[in-house]
Amino acid sequence: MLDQEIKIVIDHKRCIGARCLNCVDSCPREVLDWDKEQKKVVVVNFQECILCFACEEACREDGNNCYKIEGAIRKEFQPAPRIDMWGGAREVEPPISV
Amino acid sequence: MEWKETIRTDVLIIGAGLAGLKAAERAKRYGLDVVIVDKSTGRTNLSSVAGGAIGILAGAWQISNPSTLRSLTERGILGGAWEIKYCKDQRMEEITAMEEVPLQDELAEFGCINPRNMKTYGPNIRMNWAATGPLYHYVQKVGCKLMKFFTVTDLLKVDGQVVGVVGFESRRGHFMAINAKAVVLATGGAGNCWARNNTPFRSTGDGHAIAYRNGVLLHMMEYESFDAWIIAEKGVPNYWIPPSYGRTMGNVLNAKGEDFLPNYIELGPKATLKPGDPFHIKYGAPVIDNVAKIGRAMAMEVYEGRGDDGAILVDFSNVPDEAWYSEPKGIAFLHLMRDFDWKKKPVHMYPGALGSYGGCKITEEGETNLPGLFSGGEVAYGEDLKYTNVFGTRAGRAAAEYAMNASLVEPDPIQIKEKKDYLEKFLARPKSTDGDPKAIRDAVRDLSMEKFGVLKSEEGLIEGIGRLGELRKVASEKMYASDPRELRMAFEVESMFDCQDMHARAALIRTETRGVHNRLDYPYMDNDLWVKEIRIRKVGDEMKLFTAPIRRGYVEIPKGRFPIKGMEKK
Repeated sequence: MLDQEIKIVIDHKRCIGARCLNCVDSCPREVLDWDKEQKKVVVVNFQECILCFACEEACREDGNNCYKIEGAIRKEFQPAPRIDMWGGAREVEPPISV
Repeated sequence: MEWKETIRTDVLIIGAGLAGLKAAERAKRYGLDVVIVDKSTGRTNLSSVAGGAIGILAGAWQISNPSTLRSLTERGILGGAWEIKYCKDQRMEEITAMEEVPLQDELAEFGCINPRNMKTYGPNIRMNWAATGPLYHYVQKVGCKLMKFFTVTDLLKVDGQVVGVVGFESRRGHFMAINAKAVVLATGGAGNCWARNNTPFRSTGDGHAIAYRNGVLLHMMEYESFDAWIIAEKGVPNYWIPPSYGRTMGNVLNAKGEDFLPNYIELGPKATLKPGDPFHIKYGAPVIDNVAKIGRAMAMEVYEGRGDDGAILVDFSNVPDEAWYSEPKGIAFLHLMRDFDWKKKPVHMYPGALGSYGGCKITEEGETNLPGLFSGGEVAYGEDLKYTNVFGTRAGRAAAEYAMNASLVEPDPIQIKEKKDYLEKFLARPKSTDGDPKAIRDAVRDLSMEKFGVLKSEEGLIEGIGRLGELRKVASEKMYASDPRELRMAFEVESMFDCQDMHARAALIRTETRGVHNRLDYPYMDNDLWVKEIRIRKVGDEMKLFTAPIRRGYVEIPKGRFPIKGMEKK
């Protein structure tokens, strides 16, 4: 259970809207949509958000950098930990147990 | 819809997933013009979101020893046949086993210096972006043109030869034809035709449908792989829990609190059956050997009335926090669960669609039966990332070699006009409650889950095919699209109809249970009758299904009927 609440924050002043839509179309689970009446990107189904950060990345690289997901764990990882989960069999066979 | 001028290119690639990108990269080496089109942005296709074979691609599994390779192939793991034992073309399996290894070195070339470095994707469920991301940027850097938001709706043919495609841009709504010497179909799978799935919403089997409508030979369409670990809780995403240390320690239980898996899977000699032990120690067998069996077990428990609210329960209360926090996939689980207290109550789970094994029948070089059309990846040979890698590359190579010797044939303008009119029909229709593409899509997805789900039966399949036909009739008369984005959805719905029709009809013919294909009325694997594949082809307006033997290699196939553990008593 996470202590903090995760939420999507869009800076609508900077967003270039229908000319871009990189965040909306990057979403694999239809969490975002373009609202034709309000003329802005809206979060329609946050329940389905799998936190893949593709929207944020697409906005940063192809859009106007106006989109952030707050509250997610952003820990950096070192190369795969050397835990012997596989009973010493690692050199003989790959760890296929998961 | 505005009509934009036709683009001309040497090689056109449909789909910017791993197969498409690999094809583009390979074709570009021949110094040709390469255009890649993607109906979305190319960042969240299944190749990027998936995480199972990520291990192999991103270097977490060190496979360099040929004897390891051989043993894995024999166990059916590298062949992807952990789900479909014996029923795949073994020549193709051998090719994937031999060719997928160099990708790790190639990734370094594309700018991903150390694919094993988890910093490249962090605590992110989009695991394979570590492998596809560098390639996505690389192909654009070397001069392949990526057209995002472009939905291909049909192929253009002159005298049976594929000379390009038509489609539209879904932001501004331009209609456009693309004229190409060779076309590579790399559109991915059809996982989103089922209501429960762990695929992106754009995986609707468009390529399967386009291929079918144009007379391409398809095969193995009855095989849709179902992943077991998909959450079935309200308020949190109904998405899969990635394979992680924490997941292996979860206890899978039915509503009575019993551990039912020993009734369905073959236990290893050293199985401890102790709650809290990691899966491979508890049952003495790794998850990866049992993916199809676990899905089947969960569905059977629910079918026989031992489920809770249509799902089974997975208890994670004994999993220590470090198990989740120690790896990105574990953090992905924490992200998915949000404020759901998995320490206090078990999580409901039920299998969901993952990927399609069936698709265009290709040769070893990635050619389809249409001249000028090549195919690779999930739409051609299988959902696993190693197939997309190997056959994507091969399709790109074959397309480039074909384009080198071919000349550009002008498409027929009348044909293009007809295809444009077909799309405009949706835009011209009035809005109605029956014709909402989203509602029709959801109805197809729910129907698929109910009738073409994990467990199938003759009765259910026949009823499902009938209801699918009724939905299709309503859609063909009333489905509308009020803007280009909705038009894309309407087109996807049409694809789903073709895909699910093929899936259900092929599943009806295969009167046995094998791998992910489970028939309640035939609870055994029948090697006397069914070591063959079902092929599908459109002849005139009719769907023709027929069987053909598979090519066998070095894996020996025992004769006889083999009862399926846990199903046979029914």
